[in-house]
Parts: sequence; C-alpha cells; structure tokens
Amino acid sequence: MKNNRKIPITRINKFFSQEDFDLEVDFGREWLEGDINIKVILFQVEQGESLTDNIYGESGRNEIRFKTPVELTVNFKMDAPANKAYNKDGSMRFLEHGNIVFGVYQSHLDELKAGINYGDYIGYAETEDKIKYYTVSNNGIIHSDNAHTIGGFKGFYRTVTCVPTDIDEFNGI
Amino acid sequence: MGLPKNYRKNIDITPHKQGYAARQQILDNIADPGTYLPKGLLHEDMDRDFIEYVKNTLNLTLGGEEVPVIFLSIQRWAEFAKTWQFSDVNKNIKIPFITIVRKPDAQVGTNQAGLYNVPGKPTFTYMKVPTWDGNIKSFDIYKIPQPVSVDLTYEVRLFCNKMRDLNIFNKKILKSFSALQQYLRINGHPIPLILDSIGDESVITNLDERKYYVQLYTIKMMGYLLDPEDFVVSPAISRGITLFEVSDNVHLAPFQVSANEETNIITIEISFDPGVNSFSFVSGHHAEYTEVSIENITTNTITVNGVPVTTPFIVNHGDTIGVTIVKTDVGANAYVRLDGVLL
Repeated sequence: MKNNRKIPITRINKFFSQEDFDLEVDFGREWLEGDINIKVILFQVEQGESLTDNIYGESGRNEIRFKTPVELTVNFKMDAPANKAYNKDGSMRFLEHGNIVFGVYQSHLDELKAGINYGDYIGYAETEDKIKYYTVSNNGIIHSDNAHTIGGFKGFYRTVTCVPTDIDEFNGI
Repeated sequence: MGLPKNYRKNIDITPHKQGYAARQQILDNIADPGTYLPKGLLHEDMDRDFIEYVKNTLNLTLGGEEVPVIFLSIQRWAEFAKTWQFSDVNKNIKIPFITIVRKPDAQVGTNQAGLYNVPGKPTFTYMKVPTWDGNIKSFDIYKIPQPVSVDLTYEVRLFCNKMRDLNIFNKKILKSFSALQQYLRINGHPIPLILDSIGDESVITNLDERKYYVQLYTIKMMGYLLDPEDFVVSPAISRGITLFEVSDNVHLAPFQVSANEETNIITIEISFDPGVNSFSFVSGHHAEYTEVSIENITTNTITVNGVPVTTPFIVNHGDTIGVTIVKTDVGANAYVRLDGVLL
C-alpha cells in the first residue's frame, strides 16, 4: 500500500544509498535508451471512456478509447512464433506471434506519468509500415523481488508480459 | 390506437398443398425435369447444400460484416485459397469466422432407423415412359435402386472474441433446430439434420496466451445415396409370339376305376383332354365288360392286349386295355365309360 509518509530506505546502507541507486539506474537507462533504444508503444485504455455493452462489458475494435500513446524504451524479448491451428484436426492453420516480455525502468514510467495495467495494449513496429498489437497479460507491477532490485535495495524495473491480440479486438489508431 | 385482441396481422394467403397433393409435390421435386428420373444424391451434393445452409440460413453478420464460412479439407493450399481474402498482413485469418469440417468417416445411415433392408441391389420401376418408333408403340421402363442410407457428421465452429457474438449465432442455431430437426431439400430430396451436441473449445484458460471463444456445433445429416450410375432404362416388351405344340405322347388321359366287390359291378371312366386321342392301362381286375358309353366321339376302338374287341369282352388280371378314339369336336374333352361285372 502506498503511504503518504516517506519512509527512508536504509537497507544495506553501509554499502549502498539512494544516490548509488540513482547512479546505477542512470547507467542502465543510458545503456538502454542510448545504445539499445528499442521502443514499444503503450496504449493505456481509458476504462471509463470506452464503449462497452451493459451486460458483458465488451468493446469492439473501434470502441476502445485510450490515452495519448506513449513510447517506452524497453529491454525487449520476443518469443518465437508458433505454428498453430484453430481446429483440433489441424485445419485453419495460423502463425501466432510469440509473446513479448519486456523490462521497463520504473523511473521511465514515472517520467512519462504512465502506468501499465492488465489489458492495456502494446504496439510493436515490426517494419516501417507494419505494427503488431499485443495486450498486457502481466503488468509486473510488483517488482520488489530480488531479481528486480539492486542488491535488495529497491525495485527499479518492471517485467511486463504481453500476448498477441486480434485486430477484431484492437487495431491501434 | 392499439389493435383489438385476436386481430390477425399476418394472414397467409398462399395456398399450400396438403395430404396426397403435398406428397406428390415432394415426389415432383425429387424428379429431374425432362429426364423421367429422380435427381441423384451423392456426398458432394449433401456437402454443398450443408455449406449453403450455414451460409444462407444461419447467415451471421457481426458489426455489419458477414462472417466468412469456410469448409475445410486437409489440403493446405485449398485452405489458404479459401482464407486468404479474410486474412491479415501476416496471412492469418481474422477472427470472427466459421469453419465447417465434415468428419471423413461417413457412417452407415440411420435414415431408416437402422432396420433391415432388401438384400442385394434390386432395382424398382420408377416410371413407364411411352415410346413410338414410327411402327411400334411401346414403353421404356425406368428403374432405380433403393437409396443407401448414410450419416454425415459436420462440425461447425464459430471463432469470435465476444460473448454477444456467441449469443447471436447460438440463437440462430437453436431457432433453426427448434423442431429438433431441420430439413434440407437437396436436389429435391428431403434430408433431415439433427443437432447432436453443442460444445465449447474456447481458448481462455491460459493467461499468457491469446484468448478467443470457440463454440462447436455437431450436426448430423441423416442422408442417403442415390447414385445415377445405378439407374436402369430398358425397353419394355412390345410384341410377343406364343407357340405351343400338341403331342399325343405328352399327355395321358385321366381315368378312374370303380370296382364294387359286393355288387360285382366295375366301371372305368376315361376322360380325353384336347389333344389326347388314345389311352391304355393294365387292368387289375378279372371282369367282363358289357357296355361302352361315349361322349363327343365319332368312332372308337377298344383293344385287349392289342387285339380289337367288341362288347361283351373279358379282360383278365394283367391284361392291357387300349382305347383309341376320333373326336367329334377336337377342341373339347371326350369321355368313354366301360361298364361290366367282376368274375
């Protein structure tokens, strides 16, 4: 639970401080944004504005409203596409995009005043004229585990998992 | 202003045939106009009309766009040929869509409730068609075999992303099968469909996977096969010649011997059918015959052991009595009666 009171983090303060933490994050962001520079587009769904039916709360592809899309610079990983079939007998084959798993600095999100929620959409430009949309299946909002902290001091990035979505559900702008 | 109660707003003014006329109408529909034979009915015909049924009767339109209906077999290129126009930039078909898969194992039919049937493959007269070749008026006999029952099972799946889309298609299906069965007129033949089951194969359980609804409708078609290759057209008999031959040796004259041991009276009655003019038999009695009665006979000759005799004459046990006649009317029966006494 977020608290208005500020609680000083004094863990491992003999070796590590908030200044060290910020410096490490700056190093990392310099590498990620300066050298790697892989971007995805975040479409944050305006839940109150989207058109939904009264019973199921479902929206069509042109009925979803979202905030101004923002570009996120991320540590990007895409799974290999899977050769699948809609029917159990192997017919209606399709090539399913692999899931996207990306890491994003929490400080980056804070600067953009962006939050990633379950069900938000992510666009990834495969080529100059081809963009593929995904939906967030895990927003990684809990990032206080060992892997997401520096020496257990404080969480500094989130791991977000996205699965492909149909253009019948969301087709971007 | 509201309409009063019991006010009929929809009056069907189109006359509908009933009873015998309705049954005749069904037969007329089955007959192929101009050929005097019924239209054939094969697997392809039933598949074709089932696809049309899903496309036209169950016609699903979502968001103003008609949902494509795709019949699938195992050939990959054929599948691609049917789906490319509905595919996205990655050549994957876009949801929503409907697929039809016919189970390849067409089963022995239950159209006749699985009852035993006529063995072999006999053909039955379907129609007699008069013919005239300029000289002889005759008939051609059009014969067809009894149809062979077959059950075809179709799996119709709707793939979509929204519950309300499921509802629309489900409503159409249930309304179509509200009477338990739905009849298709395939080449004029009335073929029933039965909704076997409704299943769900939705991909919604895995969090880290794309989710979509898959509703499965298993529909059984209780059809039959009527192969036009088995139809037979043969000329009927137009002229017949009947020949018969008459021979004395062929037929024997029926006779009856009545011997009364008490009164010692013996009577032999011989009947000569048309074409029979002679008769002989071995006597089992020792008797003296005193009187000969004849009917429809001009002349007659009686012999005992080949020797002509006249009444009275004696016949011993084991002698052969012969009678030869000339009939007055050769087309009618003749009768000879010998009366005598036992010795």
